[in-house]
Amino acid sequence: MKLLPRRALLRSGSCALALPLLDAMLPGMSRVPGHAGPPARLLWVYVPNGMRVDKLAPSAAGPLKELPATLKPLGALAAQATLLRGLAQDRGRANGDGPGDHARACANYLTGVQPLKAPDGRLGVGVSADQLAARTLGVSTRRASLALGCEPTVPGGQCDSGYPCAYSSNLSWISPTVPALKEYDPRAVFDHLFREGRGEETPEQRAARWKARASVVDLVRAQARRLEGKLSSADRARLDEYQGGLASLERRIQLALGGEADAVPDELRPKGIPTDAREHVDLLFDLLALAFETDCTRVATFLVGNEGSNRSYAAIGVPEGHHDLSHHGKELDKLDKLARIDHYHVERLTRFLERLDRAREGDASLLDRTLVCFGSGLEDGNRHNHEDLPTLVVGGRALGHGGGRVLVSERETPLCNLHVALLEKAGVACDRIGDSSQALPL
Amino acid sequence: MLDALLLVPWLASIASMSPETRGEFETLVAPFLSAHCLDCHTGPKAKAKLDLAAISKSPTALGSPKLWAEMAQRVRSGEMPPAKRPRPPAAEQAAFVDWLERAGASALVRARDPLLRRLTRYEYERTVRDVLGVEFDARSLLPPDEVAGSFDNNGAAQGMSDALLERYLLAAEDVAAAAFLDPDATGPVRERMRGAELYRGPGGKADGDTYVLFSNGSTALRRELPRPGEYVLRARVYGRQAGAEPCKAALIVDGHPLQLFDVAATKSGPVVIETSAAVGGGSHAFGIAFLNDFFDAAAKDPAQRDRNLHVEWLEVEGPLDAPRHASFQARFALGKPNARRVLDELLLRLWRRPPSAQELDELTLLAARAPTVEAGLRAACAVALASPHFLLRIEPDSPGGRRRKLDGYEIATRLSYFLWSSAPDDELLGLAAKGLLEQDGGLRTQVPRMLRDARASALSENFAEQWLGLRRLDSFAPDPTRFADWTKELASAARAETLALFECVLRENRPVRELLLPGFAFVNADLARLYGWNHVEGEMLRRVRVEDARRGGLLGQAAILALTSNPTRTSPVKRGKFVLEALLGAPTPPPPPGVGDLDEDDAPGKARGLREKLELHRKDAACATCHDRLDPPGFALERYDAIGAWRERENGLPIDAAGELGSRRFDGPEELARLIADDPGFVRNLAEKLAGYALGRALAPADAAELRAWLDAQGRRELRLSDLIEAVVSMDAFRHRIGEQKAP
Repeated sequence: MKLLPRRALLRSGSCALALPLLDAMLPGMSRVPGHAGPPARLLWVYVPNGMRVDKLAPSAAGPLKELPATLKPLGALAAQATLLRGLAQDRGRANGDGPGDHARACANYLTGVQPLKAPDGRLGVGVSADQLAARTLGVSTRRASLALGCEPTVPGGQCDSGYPCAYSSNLSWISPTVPALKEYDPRAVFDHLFREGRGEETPEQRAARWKARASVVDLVRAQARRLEGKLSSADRARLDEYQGGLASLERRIQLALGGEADAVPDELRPKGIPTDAREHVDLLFDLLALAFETDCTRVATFLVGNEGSNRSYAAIGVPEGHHDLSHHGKELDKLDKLARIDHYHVERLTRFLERLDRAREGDASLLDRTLVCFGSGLEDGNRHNHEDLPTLVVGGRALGHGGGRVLVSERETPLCNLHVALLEKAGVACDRIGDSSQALPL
Repeated sequence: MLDALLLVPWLASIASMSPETRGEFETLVAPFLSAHCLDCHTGPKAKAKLDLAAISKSPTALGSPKLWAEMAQRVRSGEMPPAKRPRPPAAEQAAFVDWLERAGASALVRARDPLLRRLTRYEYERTVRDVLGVEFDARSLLPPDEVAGSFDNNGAAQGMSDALLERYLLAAEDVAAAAFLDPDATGPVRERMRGAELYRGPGGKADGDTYVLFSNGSTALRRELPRPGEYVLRARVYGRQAGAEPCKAALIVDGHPLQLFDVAATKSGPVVIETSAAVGGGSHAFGIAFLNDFFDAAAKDPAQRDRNLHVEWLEVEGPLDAPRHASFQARFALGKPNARRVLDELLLRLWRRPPSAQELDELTLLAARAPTVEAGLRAACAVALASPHFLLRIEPDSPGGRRRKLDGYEIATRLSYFLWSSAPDDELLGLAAKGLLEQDGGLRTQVPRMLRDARASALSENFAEQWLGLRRLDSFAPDPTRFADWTKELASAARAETLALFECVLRENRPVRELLLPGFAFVNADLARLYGWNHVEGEMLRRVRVEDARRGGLLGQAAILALTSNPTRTSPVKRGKFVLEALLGAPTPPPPPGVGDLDEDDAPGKARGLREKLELHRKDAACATCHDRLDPPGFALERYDAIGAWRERENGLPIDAAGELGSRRFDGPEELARLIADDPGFVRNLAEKLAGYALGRALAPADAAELRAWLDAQGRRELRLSDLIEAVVSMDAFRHRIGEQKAP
């Protein structure tokens, strides 16, 4: 089979976006057993400080008839959504480590590992589900995975009761000690995805830069190899990270992926970080949709706010900080405002889902081939509890996810069972993630 | 929490304890434990899950010297035994603490050196500036570094990812392009782009021959500049005018506005606007922005409905000034450069050691393939900057991980990144080549020279900024309705004040206690107004004499006081925590499981003052253990509001600013500052922080013991930063590499 350059198609169309992926464009390795045709995509969206589960999900299993208040914005998409009850993060609990539930909730969410609380501030969790997925789904795309967030990492040593700030600021972990680089500036995201890290460059300039890279990579790889023998095994770990980065660059050089996405026009390049919070979320969701539509990446995470974030939601009439509010003490006013925040998040999500639903790809919509998991690692921000986590899965009809129902699992079912199931549906074989026991029957 | 401490990979060897130390255990330690500790810390229900019963019988039962250090710290600070228990006699307490610390130190305990350290963003920027003479804004490309402990140069959190490596490549390309300029590319260039050819961003489109910005946005052309210099940016523009004001435009470089223009011209008479700016070498985006879009669909006159800016062309011309080479290239500006020789010099400085013949051959070969010598040097320089030898600070382990002396180049590197956050200079490299730095004298004579050098400002910009947590100031947003005085400008002046004090104590070799009681303050007009002074003008900070101890020192500075506040009010708990942790090095444990954060707003009863509310909370014994220690320093600072203005009353009530630090009483912030300045814990903590920063890892008990022994030997001498720095560089751990070993 001759592979068609996708770029040629992007260039030839009058509309550069939402092009159908043809089978001939897919390199063989992206095909997974049982999934002929366009690839699967995976996305996790995380909301900090818990949610109002009482306004989110009915407690009884069965079809999802009447939409609960928080889910109203979903509208017709509810037919493609499953609400999950009973999932828990046991490794998000103290287990002898004392306070710090926000940090644990976030660091544990996709890893299923109890994060290390060490007095010297060392990091240690596990590899996250998205990164495991990216090892299979990301091998032939421009970017193996994408990590987005609305807030930068807090500069400083500690964010939550002795935990390093990296834990509450990152969902995606490349290795137990290295979080994936999280982007929050929409312009930087665009440049990273479509402009090889630099906008306002002509395609010729970009091509020349890319060409010069091959010799740089060759030489520094040789230097790194010669170092291998001189270092102890612990130091080797850091050198391995460096070499891992080189390998990913080489892969892209070999696949000639660099400088290819000029077909995404400059008109779509954001100006920077919008001052309006709603615009910011929407813009990042738009870029995510664009990344999926152009098959620039197939795996992503989106941390809507750092865990424990105290941002205010003035745009929806909630000037108080989110974290402060989440310690609601059962006050009605605070509970009401929390419900408004949840509702707002679902609105933003729905806007994104609708775009994927409209984008056609062969005989299905893009949403049909995308599994989106939306949730939080805390149930109630007031109690800091890690059971019955608010969790919603939408999309993936073509991957075998039905939707339109409430799925109640036995209490204390590991959240990671869901991640294993999502990966399986996307065609990624995966025995175990963190504390998972089996794949959730999704 | 103590469980977590046991995880630290110390190598402990109780067997190495001296017979005297073991003897003292029987006569001194065991009796103290049974009199003051065992009541609570025994058996399965021991408090904090710390069962000391077995330990009280034999010291070897206690596995972790780190635990001893923790016990010593808590007993020394008076936190243990808790207040409700009888106080041990001071002499017994001191002897107990002393034993724990000595025993902890003698039972080894050295930490292995950290994982390979990576240059931080700040170090990267300083290094390319000092070695190559290239001004590079690393923040535009490199992400912020993760932090472990207090500092981002701690090897424990310096991971490397695919995305980060790509950023390093981009940075290497940019820096190399600016470092080696073509000799014939120094003349002026002039590049004009017609509107229709310009970059199409959001809010604009090509319109005939022009580019029209129909909503607020910008367009630009990107140009690779032959060299840094003075460039003119010019555009011919006109407006489609509507609304009350003319079009407003700005000429911009890389998104930063250079100058604003009112463009009243219309299609019939376009105007040329121009400005000039100093621009670094490499690739830059030159553009024009439209700033005041206007649209009123309801306007009666159709011509008055829409305001747009049309750009006929955009042009860059320059450089207009005389050519200047980046300083490294300038070394070779005379005559025809020999690439191999240049690369030899370059690699020595960037890699902080002489390159091997093979390394030099490879890069020389690469350079030779380019059309010009300069282009070859650029290519080779990019490789050198993307290399693990540049990005990582490589110190190989000796076989078996045995402790080994560092060689001269390694010492030069540790020294220069400690004091300058940058690469060793020629003098250091020269001494390293002669083998003079391995000797005590060689190293010691360098420290005073390096501290006099301008590059030592890194100690305030990088060390002090992180020690005091000033980077968080950017995200401090006090409630504007209550604190209208707090502006971006004030915040940046406040940050500058704190750094200026540190810099001054460093440069003028003042006693470190002057960080708390300097007798002067650095203020500009804004800060002076906040402090209630009206005789200072202008934006620049200036030094003014201060009669009392309310201002000038760290505890009277707006930056510190704001950082330790909530958006709507002060937080005595956060301020107390700052005093104990940042200034005295006495960490306070987080609240135990099951106890929430102390919610100061939500106090039982009808307490009115903040202090009264906190006092009520402390009736709970579980909270009192820590908060009896934590809150009082914060009470002294209640005389300052959440952004640092002085106040005598809170909510109409007089402020009670009295309390105790340890067992010493104070009333008000001035007395608190004096107590801290006199506390040996202040100097000791600062020395430990400097050591952790220098070594790039958490200190092991042996390190802390070595520092303490040095401090004890100084007697009552008033210590200066230069003394503490000398103590750090004479540490065994600073001059040796301890590798990865298998525990015996």
